[in-house]
Amino acid sequence: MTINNQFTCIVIGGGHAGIEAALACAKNGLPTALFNINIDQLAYISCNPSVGGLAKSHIVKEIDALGGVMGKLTDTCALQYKVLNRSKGIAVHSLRAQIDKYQYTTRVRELLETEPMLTLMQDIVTGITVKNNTVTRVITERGGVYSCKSAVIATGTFLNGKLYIGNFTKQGGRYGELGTIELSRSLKKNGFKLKRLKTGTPARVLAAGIDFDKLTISRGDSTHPFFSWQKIKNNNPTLPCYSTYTNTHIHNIIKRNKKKSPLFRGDIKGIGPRYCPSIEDKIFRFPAKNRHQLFLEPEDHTQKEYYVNGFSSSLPEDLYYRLITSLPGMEKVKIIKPAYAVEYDYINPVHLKHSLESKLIKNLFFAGQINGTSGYEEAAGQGLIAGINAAMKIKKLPPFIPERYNSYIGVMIDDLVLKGTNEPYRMFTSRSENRLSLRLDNAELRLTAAGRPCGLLSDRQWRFFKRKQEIVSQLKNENFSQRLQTKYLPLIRNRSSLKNYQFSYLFKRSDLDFTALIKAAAAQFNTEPEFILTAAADIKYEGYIKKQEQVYQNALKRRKTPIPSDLDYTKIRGLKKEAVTKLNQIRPENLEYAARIPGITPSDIQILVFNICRK
Amino acid sequence: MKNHSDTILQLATARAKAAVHIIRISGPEAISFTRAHTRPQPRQARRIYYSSFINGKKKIDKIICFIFKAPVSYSGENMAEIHCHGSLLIVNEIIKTGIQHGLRVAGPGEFTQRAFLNGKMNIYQAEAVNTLINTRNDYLKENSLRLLKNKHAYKFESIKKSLIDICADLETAIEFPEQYTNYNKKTTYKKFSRLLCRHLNYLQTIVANYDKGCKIDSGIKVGIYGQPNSGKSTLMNLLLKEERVLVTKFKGTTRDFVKEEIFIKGFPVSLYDTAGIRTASDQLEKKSITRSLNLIKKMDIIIYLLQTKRDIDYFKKKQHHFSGKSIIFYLNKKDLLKPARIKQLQTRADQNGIKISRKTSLLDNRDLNYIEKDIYRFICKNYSPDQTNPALQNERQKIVIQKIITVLQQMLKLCEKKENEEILIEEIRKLNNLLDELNIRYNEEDIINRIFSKFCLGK
Repeated sequence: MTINNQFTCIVIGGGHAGIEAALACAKNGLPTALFNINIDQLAYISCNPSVGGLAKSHIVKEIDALGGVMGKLTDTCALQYKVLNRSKGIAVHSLRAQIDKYQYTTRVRELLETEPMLTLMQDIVTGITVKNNTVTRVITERGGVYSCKSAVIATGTFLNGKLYIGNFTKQGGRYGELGTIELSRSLKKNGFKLKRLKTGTPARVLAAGIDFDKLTISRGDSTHPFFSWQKIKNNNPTLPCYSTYTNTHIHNIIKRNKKKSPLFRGDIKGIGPRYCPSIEDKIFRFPAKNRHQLFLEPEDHTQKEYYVNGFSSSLPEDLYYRLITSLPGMEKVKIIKPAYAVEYDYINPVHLKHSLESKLIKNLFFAGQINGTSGYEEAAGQGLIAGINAAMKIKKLPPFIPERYNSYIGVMIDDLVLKGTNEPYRMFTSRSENRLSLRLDNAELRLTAAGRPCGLLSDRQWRFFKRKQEIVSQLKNENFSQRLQTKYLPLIRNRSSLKNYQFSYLFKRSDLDFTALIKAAAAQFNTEPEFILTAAADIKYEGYIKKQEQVYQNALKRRKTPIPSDLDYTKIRGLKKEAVTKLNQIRPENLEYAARIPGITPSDIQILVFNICRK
Repeated sequence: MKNHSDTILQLATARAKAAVHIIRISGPEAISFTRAHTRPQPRQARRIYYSSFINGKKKIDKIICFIFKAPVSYSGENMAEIHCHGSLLIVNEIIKTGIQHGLRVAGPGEFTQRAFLNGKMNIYQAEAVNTLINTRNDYLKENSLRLLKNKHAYKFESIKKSLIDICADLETAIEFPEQYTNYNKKTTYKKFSRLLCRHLNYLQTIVANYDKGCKIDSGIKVGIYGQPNSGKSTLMNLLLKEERVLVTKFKGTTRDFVKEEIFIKGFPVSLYDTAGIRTASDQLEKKSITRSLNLIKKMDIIIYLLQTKRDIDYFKKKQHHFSGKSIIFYLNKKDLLKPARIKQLQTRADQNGIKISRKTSLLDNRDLNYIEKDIYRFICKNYSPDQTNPALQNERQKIVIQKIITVLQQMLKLCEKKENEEILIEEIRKLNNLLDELNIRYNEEDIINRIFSKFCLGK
């Protein structure tokens, strides 16, 4: 077959990571091909029909601030929004949207099809060709040979995917979809070490068999922020979720049938995410708990199908059916799609640079679950960065590397690259040292300016960002030094003692209603509450933010000391064995990265300093 | 910056008169240097050789030496030890020979620094060695040895565990609000406060213990005061168990003050004998007396010797100089007093609020023993660190602990104010950084592990 030379960038896998990568390359003017096993299942929602949640919503906002599409897509397909941690501090507020998953896939397809430099290809990639340590071609199962200057691998759970339902197993990346084995072989041949991970998903049930009266209704919020900077509203109905509880009867059935679980039999070798445990996991690890809460989430706006959140399993079907019909309200339920577990290949991300390019093969980028992460948002964040940098590499521009100190995407990439992972990595707000500055409300202020050279921002988005930046700055430097005026006191329940205090002082107090203060400030300064919120939060956390800024500056100093790429760590006296192993494995480019590798102590860094400076 | 790949040598014993001196050598050339200058040469490691130390044709001394081959040595490098006769002249010759050979005289602590750099000990142990060398008090020495035996730092593990628990709780409330449904800010914060208080008390205690230990380390200052010729210098000499201070029958002999260091049942004491306090007869004496009075504020205990009625009255007059100080009064030279007189003086003292501990005669050995015991009991009561609570070892640790105390106090305030969870966690992170300075930090993994083992989370 002849070599197809149409494309400059090739993205392998059209999941949440793949589509962000493909759009990023295409928008940079490079002819891009996106290969997916099934073109009708682009960015398919494999598991929870929701986007966002703690830390994940922060990633989506960051994607939006950089010009990615997940934020827009989520708002377009949202069925319900919920603000989490409303009663807690601003820094830990989070947003979650239930979405119509079929709409999502359709919208993704529309978006990709209207992108001029992007071509969609339905085919299975079976291998890559490497020459001079650089990726040159992509090979497909139908014999297609496509040349490329850079490639992004975003294969999700499809790499050597194996499905488990009780005793039944089958190759596949998702139930009903084919997986790919050859690509794993090709990667292994090129020096990559593949390991196994596992994830699972619960059954989908038809609404017709559910007795909703026995369930507790859980509605969304009427006021909420949006994921996209444009605050896109859609025409979907606002739908509730429902919840119910397991009981000891169900727990006993599971306990009696432990042998039937492939997980506990040891059939599934891959390590599963602790924070996505199957129902068997929950029962066995917490035997004292006498009930677990489950949520029923609508899969789309028709409400015909529900996702049973909290009930994932790899138990045999008949057993699972017994269990699910023992739930209050679900006695007559019909399962339309079974629960199952999927095991798949991944590569420990320590072989990647911070740009997500592999250190082993040039111009080859990796994003998403293949790097050992779990979650659509985590995948999309990586896909965006991988795609941007695949384009930057070809354009001979410096890579865009989000800072750990500045974004959750940065935290994620830094963690993956310097620490690696052996269980599915999920973002938590606690992973960041700068949680108080990495908020939902200030994603644009943190990233948009640095992200502009990546070529994904429209002029309108840039203008929105500039306006927000100016207003927030003005609020902090001028307006907030004014005092709260009397006429706005009623907004804060008439605390007359507050009227002589400046806003900058009031925002710092822990005994006042922060939201009410924002309302008052918005009224007094005639500004959108969104801008007040960001400025006020910066004021509230000012002391801590300043200290973190100092830490960041110190780290930057260390980054200025590069480590020679051929440094032989075994010859350095005084380094512990563990340090030598780690440093050799990861080969950090500078002292700052070296200092963050787990197991490297300050004394190791001191020794490195001596040795590098001596040369 | 010191070169870490050269060979160093240094006198390991104190630079003073001694029977034997030890010279320590560490570095790549340690063994070759030693072999070059000893006959017979040390062949095997860790064997004792009785040899002559030579420099060229000159024989310097008969020595005992041994060699150690890297990495089986204190510093992890090649090492040698030369034991020579206790003459500093000989020591200097040996060191000069070393310098001629290309060795370098080590700076203070350099051997231990190399031990640390070569992974032979962690920084905590290195400090323990430092303290071991410097401490005079047996108690601290015992503790230093204890630390050297196990590398872990004491009860801080429990503080670390508490922080992990608190952090895990708060993080779960933040990260999984819909699943941690029974989270109650008020009760949770109350629980934290109780825990933090407990740790705060412990830390404040060990800082206090350390201060006491420091006092002991530098010597409890005991000042002997009283009218001229009341027996102060006699007492001093007796306590010193030798004639050091000039004692005459005449008043006003000790012109200034004399300081001597003794051990009273293991506690180092700095004894101060002062000029007799009275109305000065000349300028010189006036100056001496002023100096003695000024010294009072530095004293930890005052021993005041009384003899006459005038002594008692004079003390009353000068009492303000002694305010705040602990004083043990003795009615001295009882052998010279009739019982009736003693009773009179006793009454007069009582009337003036002076509590006489004992009537003494320094000619009687039993009384001397009693005085020693009194001092010892006083030290025990006020300065003895609690034996069950291990003290800190040096200023660095104390400063870190004090910073931790400050953060804990701040956290208690925040709990009381019901401040936001994420702010409380920032304070915990601050604590973690301080714990890092003591080599006991928790990692992100510790928190995540705790969260998932304690709470059933996840969808």
